[in-house]
Amino acid sequence: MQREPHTTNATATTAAPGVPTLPGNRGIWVGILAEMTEFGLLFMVYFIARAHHPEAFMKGPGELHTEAGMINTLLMISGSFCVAKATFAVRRQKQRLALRWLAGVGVAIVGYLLIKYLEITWNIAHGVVGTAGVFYAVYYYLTFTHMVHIVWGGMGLTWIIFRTAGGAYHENHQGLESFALYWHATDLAWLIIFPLIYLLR
Amino acid sequence: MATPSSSPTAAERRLNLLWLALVGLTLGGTLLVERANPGVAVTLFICLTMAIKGRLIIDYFMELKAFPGRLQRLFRLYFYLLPLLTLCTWLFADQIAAMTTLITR
Repeated sequence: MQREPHTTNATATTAAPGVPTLPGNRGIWVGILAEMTEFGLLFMVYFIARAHHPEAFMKGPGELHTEAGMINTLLMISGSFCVAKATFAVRRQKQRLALRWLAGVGVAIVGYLLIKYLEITWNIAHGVVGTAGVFYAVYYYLTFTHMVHIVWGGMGLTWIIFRTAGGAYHENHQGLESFALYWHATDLAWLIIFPLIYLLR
Repeated sequence: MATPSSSPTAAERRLNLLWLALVGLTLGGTLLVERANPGVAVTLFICLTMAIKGRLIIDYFMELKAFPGRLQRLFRLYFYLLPLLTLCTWLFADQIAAMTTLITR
């Protein structure tokens, strides 16, 4: 498969024109490495808790609303797809197209939060609360931490939409690329949470 | 300064196929796991789909395939290690529990 790294101009970074540059800026890479470390530690907690309480972790996923988890996985993936499309669009100077794709990310975020609200309401009605057992405590810890990152993503997206509409990424795309990387990292975390919590018996 | 192309590049068009693949893996994987009896084959399948989906995001959505180096290796390693740890926890729960038990005297 042909690799097509994007190139930049001298205005955007210190790289020479035409030289492929890593998307985003250094700050966001540090940020998402910290995010992956944070989730990595929470996954270690999951593994240790599961090893000590295998029965609770075998029974637990069956008590959850799997469809809610699956829909949120589809929304996360679709959000990642939309933000990647927005990044490519802005590199082609298609600001209006980029804005439409960013609106798609907004739909994914709102949809995710709505499904989470419905899921938690359903959970409470069915006695799935954090104090019901070790599996449920780990489930809430992991999914709430992830939800906080989604809310941060929503705030970041609002800023990026305003900046894109104002033409801020006409030549230097780093801001939008950095937001895209943050969203992809949050997606990566969910791609591990979903099978661990909802599927693995 | 080079003028940006007005039509989508191959990499941009490839995103559509990748999205379809990720959706397919999610829907197919969930349906299969929900209908199958828990076992080592299902666990292995879950770990494999986790690794494949992660790799697709890292390589093409984050565009790290085009940038070989420490960052690419680190992200790819994450999606080798986590599925492997998932499988190990499923297969060797007793041994991991023994290793992570605090001994009080």
